[in-house]
Amino acid sequence: MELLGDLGLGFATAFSPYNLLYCFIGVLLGTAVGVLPGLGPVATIAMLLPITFGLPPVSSLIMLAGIYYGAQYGGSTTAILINLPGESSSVVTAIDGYQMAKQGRAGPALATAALGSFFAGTVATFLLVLAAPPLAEVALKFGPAEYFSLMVLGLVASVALASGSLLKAFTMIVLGLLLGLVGSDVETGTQRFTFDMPEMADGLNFVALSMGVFGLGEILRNLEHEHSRSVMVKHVSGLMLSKADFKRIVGPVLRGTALGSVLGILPGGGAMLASFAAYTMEKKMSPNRAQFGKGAIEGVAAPEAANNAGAQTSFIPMLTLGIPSNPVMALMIGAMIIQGITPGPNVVTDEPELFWGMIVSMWIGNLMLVLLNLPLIGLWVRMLTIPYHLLFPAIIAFCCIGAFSVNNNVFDVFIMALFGVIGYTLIKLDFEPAPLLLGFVLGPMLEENLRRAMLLSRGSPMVFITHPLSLGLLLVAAALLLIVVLPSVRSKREEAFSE
Amino acid sequence: MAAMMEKPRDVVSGVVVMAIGAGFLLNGLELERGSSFRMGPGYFPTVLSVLMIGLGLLITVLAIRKPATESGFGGLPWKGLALIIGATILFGFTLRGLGLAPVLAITVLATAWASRYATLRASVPLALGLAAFCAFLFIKLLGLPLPLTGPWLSASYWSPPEATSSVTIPVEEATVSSDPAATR
Repeated sequence: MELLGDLGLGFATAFSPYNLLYCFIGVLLGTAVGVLPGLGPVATIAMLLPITFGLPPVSSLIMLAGIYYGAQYGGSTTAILINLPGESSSVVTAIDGYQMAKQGRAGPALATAALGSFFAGTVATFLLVLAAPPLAEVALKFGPAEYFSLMVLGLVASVALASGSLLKAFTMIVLGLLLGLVGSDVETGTQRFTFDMPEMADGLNFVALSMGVFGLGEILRNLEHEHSRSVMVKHVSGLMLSKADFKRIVGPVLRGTALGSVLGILPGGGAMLASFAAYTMEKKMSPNRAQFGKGAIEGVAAPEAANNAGAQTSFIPMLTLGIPSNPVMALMIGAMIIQGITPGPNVVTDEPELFWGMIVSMWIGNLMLVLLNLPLIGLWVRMLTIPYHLLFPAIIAFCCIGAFSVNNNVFDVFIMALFGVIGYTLIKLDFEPAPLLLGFVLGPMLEENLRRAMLLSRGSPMVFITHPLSLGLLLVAAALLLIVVLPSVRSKREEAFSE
Repeated sequence: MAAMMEKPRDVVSGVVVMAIGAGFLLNGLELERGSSFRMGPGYFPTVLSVLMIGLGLLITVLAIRKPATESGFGGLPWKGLALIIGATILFGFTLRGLGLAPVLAITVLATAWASRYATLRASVPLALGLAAFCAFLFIKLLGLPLPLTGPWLSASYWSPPEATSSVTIPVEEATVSSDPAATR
């Protein structure tokens, strides 16, 4: 019964005209950046963070969340129509989706993607409603030792599930943790790594850092492989699904939703991993597996359902534990902190309006996306014809203004430029910078809990092992590491990502 | 032979990581480390720096041992790097002086040339259009405290200093006297 009251509050918050508008703006922008290759949700959210400072916390988070799951929708549209996945999470959708489009079945493919995503989004949102409050209640009983172990698990898992070199991803986390320590020490006020610059006393600016690495760094990476796009799109007609099509997608959508929901909760999971795993699973299970790669509708339904489910459920650890499972969630945590909200289990009880309003808005946003995407496909396709060489100067302009506006100080613009160079260097040296952001956000929290735990235990590190919950979390982390390092799993993992 | 040429990237990566770790370690030396019971501000950074150096060492050793298969660095787009980073830094230095609109136009125009597809016919309208759009959005709609065009562009800035100082004093007085009234 309490749940109904909470949901009522959520509906009341999310349905206020003001929040509906921001939800709409969010999903619209999200779809746009999802369509545009070379501009992802991380860079967009980082660019828009400064603009949201003036908004009420609920509205700003509703909009930022909309950008994230809106991007999942937009990415699949271009994947299907022109074999150009706008987002990494729709890479696998392109395989069968584009084949369907070539056979003149673009309409059913787009409809499958939209309906599958909507169904998955609805289920995952309900999962969020059911799972989040009890999880937050458990987390409230956590002491510093448990929190420390939980964060270690989160960081280890995000490395284990990411693609690429394990060692290098781990290095990025440690670098992120170190960068997170720059500024005044919380307990003593000692200046650390600030080089006596007063602007550094509050630490490196989160927005400037992420815009530098994910905005400027990405642009430099894209310019290396720049080529002009010529887009030829056939007219899309017949969005309706036939009865036979409908029957074929029910199973894949259900399985994709289930798999995506589970993988989304895991740190490092989220949309991309979910879509890859769902496609691979469907390819093994489907009775039509011979058709995969040649335009099987199942190959669109499963990954699309999975990536949207994963995008929704990745909010669970962020909202209940204050632990980001991917860079977008790290940005959301940054947005909360800037708005004066302490992320963690307290959010459910202290900010019920924010918590429930955001959850309900996600469901509304998904509905908007279905209504928005199918009729507007023509517009999205036209957006694709914007050449990158006109797009990236605009991104840089927005980044510059954004970095300045955080503190109304040009110092942050210089920090952004510096991290543009650092981000690009890292990319050049084959370091994927995403884990850096997770480390950066968690660094101060990790240190604080470590210090508190050690203080309470009078300097004995045994505290992490004698507390059963903490021990359990650390064991899971160790098991994850072990599994990934094992040679047999390692080759399979590489296989899964190269597919 | 080509394979031999491709190997150094991971070696360089490892060395860079070690250098970063060493940099943090040296810079954190003066911070009080404390004990594991009462950790000082230097404890955690030291642990992480040492971890970083260790990771760098591991990357280097593995890179030297393993057969070189990964691709090389690829080209370095010096022009793009210089233009984009340079324009960003220029933006920072001239924003207050020139004002938002002119600085944006310059930034956009400069960065546009980082692309090999840039043409004057496309970049000039883009620069002017973006400058106008952003000026409207950020100054008029979002109220960013920035001048549209800065003091460097006004004639009085370059005339003798007495003229400017007499203008600023009344403004300061006005803000001081109005502040307490507003809070009460």
